[in-house]
Amino acid sequence: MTSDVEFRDVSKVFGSFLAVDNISFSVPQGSFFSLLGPSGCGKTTTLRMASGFEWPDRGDVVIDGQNMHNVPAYARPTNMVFQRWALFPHMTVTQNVAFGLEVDRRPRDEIVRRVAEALELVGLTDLATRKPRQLSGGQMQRVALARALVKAPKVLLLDEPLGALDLKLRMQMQLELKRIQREIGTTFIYVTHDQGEALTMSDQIAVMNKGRIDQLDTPQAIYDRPATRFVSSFIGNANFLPVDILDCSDTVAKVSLGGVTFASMVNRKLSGKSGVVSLRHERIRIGNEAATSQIKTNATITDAIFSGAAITYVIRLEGSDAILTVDAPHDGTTAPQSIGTTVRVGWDGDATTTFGDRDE
Amino acid sequence: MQPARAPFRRSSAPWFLLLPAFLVMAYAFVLPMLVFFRYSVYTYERGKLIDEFSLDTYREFLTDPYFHTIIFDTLKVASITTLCSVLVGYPLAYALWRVKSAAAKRWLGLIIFSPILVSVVVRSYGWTVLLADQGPINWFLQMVLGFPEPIRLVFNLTGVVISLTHVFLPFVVFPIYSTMTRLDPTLREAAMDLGAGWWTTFRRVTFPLTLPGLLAGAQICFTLSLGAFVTPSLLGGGRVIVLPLQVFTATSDINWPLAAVGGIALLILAMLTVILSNRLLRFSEV
Repeated sequence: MTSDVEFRDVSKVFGSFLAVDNISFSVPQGSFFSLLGPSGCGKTTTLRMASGFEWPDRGDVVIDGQNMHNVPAYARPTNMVFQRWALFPHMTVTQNVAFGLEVDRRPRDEIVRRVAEALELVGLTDLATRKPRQLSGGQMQRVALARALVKAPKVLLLDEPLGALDLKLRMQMQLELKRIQREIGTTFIYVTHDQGEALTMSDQIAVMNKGRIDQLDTPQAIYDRPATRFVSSFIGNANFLPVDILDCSDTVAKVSLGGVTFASMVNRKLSGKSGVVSLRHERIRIGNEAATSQIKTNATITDAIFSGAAITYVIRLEGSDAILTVDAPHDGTTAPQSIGTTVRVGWDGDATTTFGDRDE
Repeated sequence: MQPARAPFRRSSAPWFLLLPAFLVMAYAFVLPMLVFFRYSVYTYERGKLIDEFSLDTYREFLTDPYFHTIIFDTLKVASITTLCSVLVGYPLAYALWRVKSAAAKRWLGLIIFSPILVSVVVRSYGWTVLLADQGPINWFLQMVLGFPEPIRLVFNLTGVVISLTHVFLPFVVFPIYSTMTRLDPTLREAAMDLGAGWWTTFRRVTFPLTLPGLLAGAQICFTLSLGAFVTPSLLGGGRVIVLPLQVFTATSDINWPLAAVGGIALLILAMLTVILSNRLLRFSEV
């Protein structure tokens, strides 16, 4: 598969702050690629280097086979959807969308046709004559998308475009973005700090932390096989518990959690005698569900929080006194376990990952 | 039952706060205006003021070509000054906005503001020296650029416009600068991202969005120019008669009806400017 965007050993420094630290990745053509990480991890800077608003201090950015060295933003085959959309407030929806084509001096009839197509794609045909201030957040978001897509860019760059929308609308727009991306087949690079967004939409996710890419993989692989302790804690909810490492190979470690021994996944051979195991909240089964698990033990329920689709239990393991959080699905027929009772709990060893003591 | 109402104190508080301003306005504006109108319909005959209703002064003012010239010159000075201030002021505001270093911004701001710090009389005499036939500018024109004879830069319209532009520049620069700083910086990035170079971005995004500031600055400059007195009298050398000068002369002659009519003309021009620019402003706003 050919790649649309390629970063080769790119670094960017702001003053004495290393914003992007020697990253390399390539984005396959037509894929939905997310840069995910907490604020300040360098994801926006990375995107801005692709768009041409920031220049790398070291390394190369290659887009569509061309090195973008010294190519200004206006000459790149990329278009951007900005965080707060940056619609031109003095122009109507149509004028906003037509702007990029007018700048390129396309013929009038072509502009009219392509603007109409873009507005139809995002479902805004009826609002074409409105000004941005007469639109809702979701509608402005669509205008921004149409304005960027109308230029038929090689790569569409999206900088947390859903951040300013409320939750329901955000979910709806996620599906919509994915639909549009499938429909037009353009490469999307999507920056977000919201793991849910990234997991839902992406073909591939690069998880960034402190200017580096910790892991680049499919959403499922990132969720199930976190490469670092940071990835494991940033994506999904996990318990981190200290364990003794009894034996370790390149892929599997035999660990002991307060006397309960099991085989846990590792990313490399750990040399230390102790480590930290990551145990996802929803991977732990409780009560009758635990019967089919590889590893079983007893625990006392110390707290139970009902939250609709799931019940969150806080439990204390027998023997180790380790405190764990468990998310159990709520089926709507059985009553939640009451506080103070002792229950069976269990999990599968290959659903856990063990990291070294000092790993980040 | 009575519908609930906001307590009296809460609903009346704004009016109490406005009271001092109202009192000042009543004493310093409304009252003099009434006196003004009264004097404008007095009769003035052979250097004497007679308390007798007459519209003669108005008639004279509106028909005499001498006064037409004065009104025309007043508008001309104000228009050219405003044009020059905007032409110099907009790029200046842009530069002030784009300068990155905070220290440079502070110094540039101070320099732009400086004309206001100098007394108008001192400034006017300063310009007289600089613009004189034997002054440094004419020396430069003749010695370096080889002009055959000095260009008259002072004691005419040119001198008045140069000096007025100088002092009203900050009133134009700062409103423009303020609209620029309120401009969302990502709008320019968005324009460039969509393929617009610097000039297109400026023409289609930055300029239309800073137009309200430009109009506000132009309005201030124009109204201030209409009322300028010291500068036209010192740098006009008696050749540039504007309405404030005419009012002053009429007052010295104890021709109060003529002074009052001149003042009213000035007021009407200022009001028209405000109305017109408010219209334009509403049009230019998003």
